[in-house]
Amino acid sequence: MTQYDKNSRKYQDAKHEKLFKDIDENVQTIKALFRNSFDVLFQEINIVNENKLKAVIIFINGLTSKSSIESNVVKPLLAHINTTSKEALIDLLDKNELMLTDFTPCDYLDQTIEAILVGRTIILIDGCDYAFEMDTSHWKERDVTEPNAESVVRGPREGFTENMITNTALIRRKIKTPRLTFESLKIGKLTQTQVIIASIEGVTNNNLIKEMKIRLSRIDTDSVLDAGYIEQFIEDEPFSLFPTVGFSEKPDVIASKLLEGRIALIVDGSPDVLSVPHLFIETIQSSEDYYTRPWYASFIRLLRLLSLIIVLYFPSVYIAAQTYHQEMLPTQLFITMAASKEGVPFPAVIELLIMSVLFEILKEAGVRMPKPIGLAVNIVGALVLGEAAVEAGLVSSPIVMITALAGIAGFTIYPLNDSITFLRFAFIILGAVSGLFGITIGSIFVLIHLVSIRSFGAPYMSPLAPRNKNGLIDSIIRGPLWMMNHRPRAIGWKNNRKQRIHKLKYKK
Amino acid sequence: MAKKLMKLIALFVIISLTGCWDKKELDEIAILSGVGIDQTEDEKLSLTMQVVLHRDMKIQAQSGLRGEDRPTQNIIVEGDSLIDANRNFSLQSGRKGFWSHVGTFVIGEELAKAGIGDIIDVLERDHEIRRRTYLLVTRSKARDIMDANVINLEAIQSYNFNDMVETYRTNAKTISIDLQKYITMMSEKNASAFMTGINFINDPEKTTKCNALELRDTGIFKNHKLIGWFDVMQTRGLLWTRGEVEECIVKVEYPYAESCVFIEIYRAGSKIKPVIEDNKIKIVVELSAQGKVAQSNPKTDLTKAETIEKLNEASAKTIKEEALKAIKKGQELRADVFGFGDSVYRKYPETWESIKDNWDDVFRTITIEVNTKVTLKRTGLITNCLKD
Amino acid sequence: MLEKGKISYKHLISIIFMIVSPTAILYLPSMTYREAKQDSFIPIIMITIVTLFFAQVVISLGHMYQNKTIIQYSQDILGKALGKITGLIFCLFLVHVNSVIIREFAELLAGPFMKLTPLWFFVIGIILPSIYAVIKGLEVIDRVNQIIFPIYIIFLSAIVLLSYKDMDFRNTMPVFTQDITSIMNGFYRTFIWFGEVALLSMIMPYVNMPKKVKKMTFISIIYLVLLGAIVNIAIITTFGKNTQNLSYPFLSLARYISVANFFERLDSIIMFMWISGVFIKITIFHYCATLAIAQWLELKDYRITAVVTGIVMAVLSITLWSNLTQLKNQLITLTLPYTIIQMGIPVVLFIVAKIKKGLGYG
Repeated sequence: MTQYDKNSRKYQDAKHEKLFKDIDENVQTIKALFRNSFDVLFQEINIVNENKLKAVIIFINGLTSKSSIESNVVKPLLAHINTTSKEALIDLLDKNELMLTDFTPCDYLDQTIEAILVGRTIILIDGCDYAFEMDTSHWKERDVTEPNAESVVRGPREGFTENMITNTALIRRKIKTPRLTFESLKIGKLTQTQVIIASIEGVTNNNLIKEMKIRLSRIDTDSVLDAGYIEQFIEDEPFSLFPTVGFSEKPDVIASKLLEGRIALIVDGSPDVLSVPHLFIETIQSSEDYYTRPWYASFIRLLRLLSLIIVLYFPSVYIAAQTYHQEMLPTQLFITMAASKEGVPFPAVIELLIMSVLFEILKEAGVRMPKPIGLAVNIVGALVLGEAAVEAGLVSSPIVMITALAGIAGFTIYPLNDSITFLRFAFIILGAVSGLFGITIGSIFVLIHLVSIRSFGAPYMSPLAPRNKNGLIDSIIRGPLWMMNHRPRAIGWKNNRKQRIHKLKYKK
Repeated sequence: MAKKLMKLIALFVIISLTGCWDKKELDEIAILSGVGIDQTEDEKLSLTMQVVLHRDMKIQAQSGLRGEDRPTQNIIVEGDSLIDANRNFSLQSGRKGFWSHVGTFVIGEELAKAGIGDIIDVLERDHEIRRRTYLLVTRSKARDIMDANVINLEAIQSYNFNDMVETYRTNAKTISIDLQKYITMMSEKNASAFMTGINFINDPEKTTKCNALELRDTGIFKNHKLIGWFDVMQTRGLLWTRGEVEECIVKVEYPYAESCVFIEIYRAGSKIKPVIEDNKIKIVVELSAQGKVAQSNPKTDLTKAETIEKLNEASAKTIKEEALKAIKKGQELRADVFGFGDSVYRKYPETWESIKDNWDDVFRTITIEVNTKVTLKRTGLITNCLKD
Repeated sequence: MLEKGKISYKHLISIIFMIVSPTAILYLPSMTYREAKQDSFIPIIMITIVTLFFAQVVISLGHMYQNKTIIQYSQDILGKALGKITGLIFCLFLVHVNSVIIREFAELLAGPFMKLTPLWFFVIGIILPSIYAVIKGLEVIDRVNQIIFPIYIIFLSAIVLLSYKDMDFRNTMPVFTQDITSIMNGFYRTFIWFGEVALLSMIMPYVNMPKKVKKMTFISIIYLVLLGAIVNIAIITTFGKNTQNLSYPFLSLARYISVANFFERLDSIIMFMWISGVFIKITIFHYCATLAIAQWLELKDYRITAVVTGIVMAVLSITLWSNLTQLKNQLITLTLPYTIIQMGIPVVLFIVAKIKKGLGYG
C-alpha cells in the first residue's frame, strides 16, 4: 500500500491516515516512506519483562541533538519503563507527566513524517495507534553576524540567519508587544518551506494581510529555496524593472518597516526577509539615516539621489552631447574631448557600451570568484581595462572615467542598481540614436511606468506622487525625528499619528 | 506577452537602424574658434576660418611643451554668402565646420564699409551660432588679423581676442559688443551701432615676436555699414555717456597742465534725460563717477579737504571733455550710438514720432549738456607723496 | 463613467497650469510684442479678467451638472440632436488643437536642435508615451505631472533669474503709447492659449472635491498670468526691439544666458524641460479628446479610442501644414474659430442652461 511500486514508476507520499496499533507495521511503513535512507534512525527500546513494552524512537541524524534525545526522551522513558504497564505508560505520556517540553501526540502518518523531517523525535509505543512527537531539533547553522550586503557605520549590526526561529526571535527582541503576530504557512510541495507572515495588529491594514494570504495560497510550486522565490511569485509587477517587494537582512530595518504598517515575510532557510509594500523611495533610504542627525542624513540621501541620476544619465547624456548637442559643452571641455577621441576606431557609443559591459563583467567576476584569485582580478581590471585600453587607443579616457564613475555611483544605491542596469543601457542607446530627445522620452516612459504601478495597493511613487505632505519629510531629505509624526499614508491607512513629541523646554 | 516583446524589439530595431540623422561624430567636424570675414575684389566673401587642431592641443597638454606652432590653422574659403562659403570649407578641409564654439568674428574694413547686413542676417538666423560671440572690426584685412601673432596666454588665438575684449572693464579704452547687443541696437531703420576695433600696433618698435595686435579704436556702423571710427579717447567718451565704464584711469591736470594726478575710477554711471526747452529738444547727460587717487604729484596736498574738492571738479571737467569729444564726433558722423534717440522715445513718444524720420539731422544739431560729478573717496595707502 | 479615477483638487492647480503654459511661453511673447510693443502687459491683464470670468462659467456649468463632462451635459441642455452636434464640434476641435500643439512641438525640436531629423520621428516619439499615459488613466497623468511640474517651474525660474544680468529695464518704457488697435490686436492673440481653460469642463467631473475647484482654478490662472508676465518682461528687457523678429524668444533667452562663465549654453537643458512640459500638455489634451470621443460615441472603454485618436493626431500634425510660417499664420486666422468653440460653446451652454432653469425645465 505505501511501497514504492517499481513497475508502475509512481511513488506515493504519506497519506493522511492514522497510524497502526502494531508497532512493527508502523516502523515498516515509515521506513518504506523514507526509502530506507541511512540517516533516519530507528532506536528500539525493548523491555523484556512481563509488560512486554516495546517502544521505538525515530529521528533523523543531523537534524536532532543526540544528547537532547538521550536526556529528554530516553532517560525519562527508561526511568518509568520498568514500573508501568503499557497502558499506564501511554496514559503517562498522554498526560505528559514526564514534564517534557513541546511534547504532543501525533495521530496521522503524514503528520509523523513531517515531524521527523523538521527534526522532532517520534516515540512509538506498541499497541498505541498514535505517536508522540517532541522537539529536539538542533543543527549547525551560521551565527548571527553582520550581513555583508548591508553594512552600516552606526546602528545594530545583527543580521538574520537561515533559521526562521532565530529570525523571529531577533524581531521579537526589537518589538516587544503581544500585537506582533506571526502566522505560519507552508509553501512548496517538495521543500515544504515555512513562510511566516509578521505583522503588528492595529498598525497594519487587515486587507493587506488578507491579500498576502491570498497570494501566498496561490503559489503552487515544487521548491521554494529562498525568499527570492516567494518574492517573484507574489509581486505585483513581474515584468517591471523595479522591485515592488523589498528585502533586508537586518532586524532593525524590518522592525521599522513593521512599525510603519508593512508586513514582513520570513522564509525558512533564507536570511533575506521580505517586506511589503515596497516603495520607490525606500531604495534611497538606509537604516543608518535614522540613527544619525538629520543634516548629514539628508545630505547623504540627496547624494544617493544624485548617484541615481548619475548612473542613469551621465553616460547617456555624455553620448548625446558628444554626438548631437556639441553646443552644450563648454569649449575647453569640448576640445579636450575631441582631442581624446582622435585615433579611436569605434564610434563613441560602441566604446561606451563595450566599457560598460566590461565593467559589469568585472563586477560579476568580483562576486563569483574564489577569494585567493581576488587580488589578481583587481589588478587586471584596473590596469588592463583602464590604462592599457586607453594607451592602446581602443577607448578614450573620458569614456573610461565615465564608466567608472557611473559604476561607483551605482554601488551607493545597491539594491536598485541591479534593476536599473538594463535601463542604463537602454538610455545609452536612446541617447546615441536620438540625442537628448530620446533620453527625455525614455525617461518619461519610465516615469509613467513608475507612477502607475502599485505595490500591494500602495502607489509606488508615494510620497512624491501622489504627494503626501507628511510623507515628504522622510523622502528625499530626512527631516528631524520629532517632525515625523505620521505613518506613511499609502501604507498605514489607519492609526496615522505615531508619536507626539512635546517641545523640549528647560525649566529656568 | 511574447507578442508585446516582439513589438518592442521591432520598434527598437527600427529606431536604431533608421535613426541618427543628426549625428555628428567628433571626427566629422572641425571646431572653429574664430572667423574672419573679408570682401574680395569681385565682391564675394572671403572667410578665414580658424580651425582648432585638437590633436596638437592634446599632445601639447600631455608633453607639456609649448612649441612654436600654434594649435590652430587658418583656412581661407570664398563664397557668395556666408553659408555658401561655409559649405565650401569642407571642400578644403574634409570636415564640416562647427560654429558653436567660435569666440570672435573679425570683420575687415572693406567689407564693413560695403555693408554687413547679409552676414548679420545669416548669423542671426542660424542656430549653431551663439549670440555671445564678440564682433570685432579692423582697419586691415581680417585675414591678416587672424594670421598675426598674439601673446599666447590662451593656446587658441581667437580666444585671446575674447579675453582682450573682456578687459574693457578694467581700462575703458575699448568696448565690448556681442552679436546680440549689436542686433538689438540695429533693430530699427537707420539705427547706429558700434563695434570693437582690433588693429595692428602701428609702431614696429613696439611689437615683439609674439604680439602684433591690440584693441584700439571703435568702428561706428550705420545701417550695417561702417561710417567712421572713434579713437581711444572718443571710445572712452562713448562709454562714459552710455554709462558702461567700470574701471578706468583718468589723467587730471591738476594743479596745472604739467603736473598731473591720476585718478582710478571704479564706479561710474550715466543718466540721459531729454528736456524740451522752447520747443527744442535738449539732451542732458548726467555722469557720475567714484574713484580714488592712484598717482599724485608733489604739488598736491591731499590732506586738505579743498584739494579733494578741487580734484573732484578737475576730474569732472576732464571726464566731461572726453564725453563731449565723443558726442561731437558722433554728431559729425550722424550716428547716434549713445542712445539719445531711445531716451527721447521713452520720455516723449509723441515728439519722437514727429522727428524720428530725420533724427540724424536733428541729432546733428541738438544741444547736449553734460553734467559730471566725481567723488573721490580715498587716496590709497599714503596721503601725500614726497615733496621736492 | 469611463474614468474611474479621481484626482485631488490640490493637483488641479498644476494641471491647469500645464494645460496652458508650455506653448504659451513659446509663442505668446513675440506675438503680443509685435502688436502691442511695450504695452504687452495690458493685454495680459485684460485676458486675466476675461479668463477668470470664463472659468467661472465653466465651473458653474460643472456644478450644475455634476459628474458630467461637457459632451454629456451639452446633450442635456440643447437636446439630443443639437447636443450631439456641439459635442462633435468640440471633439474635432480637441483633435485639431492637439495636432497644432504636436506640430509646434516637433518644429521647435527640429528647427534649432536637430534639423536633419524628419518631423515624424518627433511626432511618434511624443505620441507613444502620450498614448501609454492616456491608457493608464487620469490618475497616472496627474501623478506624472506632480513630478514634472516642479521641475518645469524650477527650470523656468532659473532661466529668468539667470538672465537678470542682461535685462535692461529701460526697454519696457515708454508705456501707454500704443493705440487701442494694437492693444486689442495683442489682446486678441492671447485668446487661443488662455481659452484652453475650457478643458476644465472635461476634467471637472473627476476632481474629488468639486466645491474647491473654483478656488484652485483661480489660483492657477493667477499663477499663469504672473509667470507669463515675468517671462514677457524678461524677454522684452533682454532683447528690446529685436523681440518681434525672434521665432522662439524664450529659447533665445536661454541661449543667451552667461553667468560667471559657468552657466552658459543652457539651451539643451531647456530642451529637457520643454519636452516634459509639452508632453504633459499634449497628454492632457489627448486624454480629453479621447474621453470626449468615447463619451460621444458612448463606448464602454476608451482605450482603443486612445490609440486611434493618437494616430489620427500624429498624422494630422504632419500633413496639415507644410511649413512653419503657414502654421503661425494659421494660428492667427484660427483664433476666431477656436475662440468661438472653446469659449463660445460653454458660454452659450451656460446661458441656455440658466434660461432653462429660469423657465423651470431644470
